[in-house]
Amino acid sequence: MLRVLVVDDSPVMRRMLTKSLEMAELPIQTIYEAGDGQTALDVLANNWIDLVLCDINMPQMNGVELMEHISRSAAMGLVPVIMVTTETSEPRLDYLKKLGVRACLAKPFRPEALGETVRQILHLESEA
Amino acid sequence: MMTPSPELLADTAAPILAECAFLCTTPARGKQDWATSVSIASLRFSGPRSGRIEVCAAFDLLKSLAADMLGIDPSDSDASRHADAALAEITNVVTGRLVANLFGTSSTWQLSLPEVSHGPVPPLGERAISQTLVDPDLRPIRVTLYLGKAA
Repeated sequence: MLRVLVVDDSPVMRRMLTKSLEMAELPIQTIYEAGDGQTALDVLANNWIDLVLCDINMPQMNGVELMEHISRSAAMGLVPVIMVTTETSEPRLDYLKKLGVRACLAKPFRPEALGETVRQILHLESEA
Repeated sequence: MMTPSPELLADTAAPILAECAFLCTTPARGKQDWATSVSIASLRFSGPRSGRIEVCAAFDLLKSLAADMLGIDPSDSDASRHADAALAEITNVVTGRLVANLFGTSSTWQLSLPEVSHGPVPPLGERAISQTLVDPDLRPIRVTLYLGKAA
């Protein structure tokens, strides 16, 4: 059962991601939410997280800065991160992949695409 | 890379409204009947060129937008509570796609956080490129691009 951290400054997007995870019929135990990178770091420091879904453009600490922090931590660096973002700049996406981001999903996304991406990253079996 | 035009704004925004919120829109014709007060989301970008995107719509449309994005009924209080947040997120997604359409993906650009204000529909500035879309109930949503000089 998965514990997922959803990081996005938009409460609407956090709800959409949560609903999409449910619609994708993934084995979700708990969904944590954070509205910025700093809050996400606090959640990661205090909870076991199996997967992070993260936006880039956020206040206080954006998604790139969050990923830089995660990549410097031996423990946090093991948590798979999927960026869910409007960002399509190839230099920035390449940089994020070098930091260890496992996948980038463009907004707007279909719940099926989110589900497939999560299953691939976490090596989960697909729904029949 | 594409040329900024009202058609490009329509071609960028309409699919996003459809994909994010199942909101089918078409380019508006003629003068629109705007509410006295609308929500206005503004987002700045900088990179190969700088500029600003502004998206405005009335509360009634935004409540429907929020309801569709959240998968709830428009009468649900969350739809009203998140109407501005829905507009901000749509503006964010439209801007991200628009800058990619305008400048390509080999550059890097910065987007500000969207800011939402309320008031009458803002007049269009001198260098505005604008397109109003309407939903099946003829409720308008206007997307405006202000583009600065090349860096």
